[in-house]
Amino acid sequence: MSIVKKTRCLALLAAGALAMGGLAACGGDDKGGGGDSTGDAGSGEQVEIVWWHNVTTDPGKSIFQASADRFMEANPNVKITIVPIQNEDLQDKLQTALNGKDAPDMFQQWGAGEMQEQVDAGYVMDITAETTAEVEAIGGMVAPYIYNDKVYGLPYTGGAAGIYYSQDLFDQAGITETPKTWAEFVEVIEKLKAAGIVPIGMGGKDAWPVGHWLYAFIIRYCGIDVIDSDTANKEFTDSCYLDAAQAMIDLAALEPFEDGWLSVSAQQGAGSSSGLLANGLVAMEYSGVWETGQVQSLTPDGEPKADLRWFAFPQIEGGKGEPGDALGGSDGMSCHANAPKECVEFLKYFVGDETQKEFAEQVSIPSNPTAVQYLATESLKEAATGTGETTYLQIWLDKAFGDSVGEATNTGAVSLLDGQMTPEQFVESLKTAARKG
Amino acid sequence: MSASSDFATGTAASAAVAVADEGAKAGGGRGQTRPPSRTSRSRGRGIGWRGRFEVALLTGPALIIFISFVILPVVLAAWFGFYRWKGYGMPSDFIGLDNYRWILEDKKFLAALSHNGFVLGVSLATQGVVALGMALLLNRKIRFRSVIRVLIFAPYVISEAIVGTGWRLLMQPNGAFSNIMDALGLDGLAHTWWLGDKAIAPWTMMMIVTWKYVGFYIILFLAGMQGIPEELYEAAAIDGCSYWRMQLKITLPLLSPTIKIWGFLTIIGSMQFFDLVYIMWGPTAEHTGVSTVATYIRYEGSEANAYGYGSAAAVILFIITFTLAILYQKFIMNRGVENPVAPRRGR
Repeated sequence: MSIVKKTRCLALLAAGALAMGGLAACGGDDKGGGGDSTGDAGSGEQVEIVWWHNVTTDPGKSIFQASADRFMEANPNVKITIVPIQNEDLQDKLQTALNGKDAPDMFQQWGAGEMQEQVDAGYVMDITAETTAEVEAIGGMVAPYIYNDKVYGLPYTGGAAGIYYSQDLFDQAGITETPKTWAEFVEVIEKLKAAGIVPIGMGGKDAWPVGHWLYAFIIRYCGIDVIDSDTANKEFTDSCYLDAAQAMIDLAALEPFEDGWLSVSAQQGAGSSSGLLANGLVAMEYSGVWETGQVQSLTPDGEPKADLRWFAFPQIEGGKGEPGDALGGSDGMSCHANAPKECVEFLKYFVGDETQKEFAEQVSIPSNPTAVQYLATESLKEAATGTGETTYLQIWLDKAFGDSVGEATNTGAVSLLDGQMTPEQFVESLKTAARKG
Repeated sequence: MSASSDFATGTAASAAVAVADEGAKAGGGRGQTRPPSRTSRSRGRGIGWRGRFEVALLTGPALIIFISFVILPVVLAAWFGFYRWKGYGMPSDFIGLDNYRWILEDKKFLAALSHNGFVLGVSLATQGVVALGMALLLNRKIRFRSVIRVLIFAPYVISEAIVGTGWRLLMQPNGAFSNIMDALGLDGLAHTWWLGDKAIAPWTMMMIVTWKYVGFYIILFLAGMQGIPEELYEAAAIDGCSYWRMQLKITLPLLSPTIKIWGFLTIIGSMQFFDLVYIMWGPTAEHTGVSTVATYIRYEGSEANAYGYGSAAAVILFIITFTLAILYQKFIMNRGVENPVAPRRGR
């Protein structure tokens, strides 16, 4: 046999091995599907729960792990595999995974429109019967997780968004009271500017922080009824949307933001808007309940910002909204329709007292009101109180309106604030977005 | 390049070759030691069943992967493009060509496409010249040549995600760049919104793109230059040819296949440009004049959960890029100066 022939045989062997390896790998995949029917597991049978969530940093991450560890200890037949995934990545991966065979058993859930789409596609387990006690305990915050009178998930944290501010900078500018109305708020902005302080931090690069301001204006100008009707019908014919859009333009005219806000990110590093607040370079930021923890992670020493406080978004005269309406949201978990029953058991344990107490002590506002007493920082306590005074917690409008209109709302908010769009064009863009998704 | 100048450089090149041949003969007939162009062990005649089996086995895996990960997704995207589809389950809401109509009517899409055109135009106009100049410089025997080559190539090796994050942190308001300019007393530069100003951001982007990719093109051109026989330059030098004249009459014409490849890579790269914009500007790319069709697909398609719409936009991008590629192949790659030194295969 010549050398040429020998090498050719080797190549054939190698190619064959590769092909078979590929086939074997393909074969293996079919069995590995996470969401498959390991269901109706008898008590002794080994089950695995694959859990995807978006808490990739401590202390939250460790608290979740500890919660799972305790549950596994009490239920030796259950193995919980935790996969923390960065928030934006998670949203992509989850969608793909739910469509495929590798769906997680328990996964991050925000409720409302997106969850309803998942439910309609048959991916989410109905847990109504098992969770009556938990739904009772949590109260209003569970509303976005209920669809057609059935419960499809449970929140573990949440609350009303509000304006987080630095008490020291307010003192410096001679501001003694937090503003209740828009006119007072404008006064605060002017006092801060007069004192040489940048009033508002804005993470324009990520678009959603700008969106939050617009959602708040829409809640104040339109009221919940209009929002509800448009959530369902996506018509956006009420003139209140024009008012809200105009409010964005008027806000920008006050020039309350840091220089170059359009290229400032929301949470990445000391130069982000949260970082600016953490380091005393801006006085306020409108944000959700994660803000306290976010600011803490960006202070120079990693300690909580001592002078961080909270007040509710100011009331606006002439708007249709009720004073008790507030923008907010929650984070929760759902079980996959094909997940083992133990998933529900663990979910109930996860939103139960023990984990909620740890979460309140170390991270943010717990969904269960009985754990609120364990909150550690001033700003969180005020936010929790504010959440308690809320009569209607409107979920983030990009989630409520669905992703397609939500995307248009966020980028439209940036355009309005940057003077690249008129209110009429903005409303038009919502209608355009509604037809494609 | 017009036909007449084509002809002119062609004759110049063949003249140079003639000169080179003379030189080679004078130098002792190096060419004679070259092996004959046809090898005696050529298999010839048609292939038997074993041959066929071998071909099938060797190309099979690649073919399967290519079909399932390239051809199939393209076909699927074309199919999804006719539906209003949120990405859950199978698409069922057939809306014909509506997605395509909406996309082509969308100002954001047209803006994104024009930004692709901007990237392409500026890249073609600047990067080739810069890369060619640097390659000429590095092709000479200068001190620290290999160190400089490594340094120039380094940005290309770094992942685009890291490059984007790094430049973002440098250029953001209150970032390192602003602070340095401030310290130097250059207030104007310190308070320029490099990423946020619509008039400046596209140029910031082009600066970073050039910084990142020019190293690759320099290496590409250097490799092309290494392939040009030394004898040509020797002969030209004997004839009293100046350095710049040599570059113009020998290097440039013989580098034309490499230059064409560079053009092709630039076109494809510019049309599919995504990572850097996505990381550095995210959703505000459209507000700062740097959005591309690919970021449009990302935000208006997948981020908006409008997968049918996004697929339709992807199909449009595919058609545009594919057409450009075909036209380029037909009118530029396959015509022009044939490399006169390349060994002619038996005709």
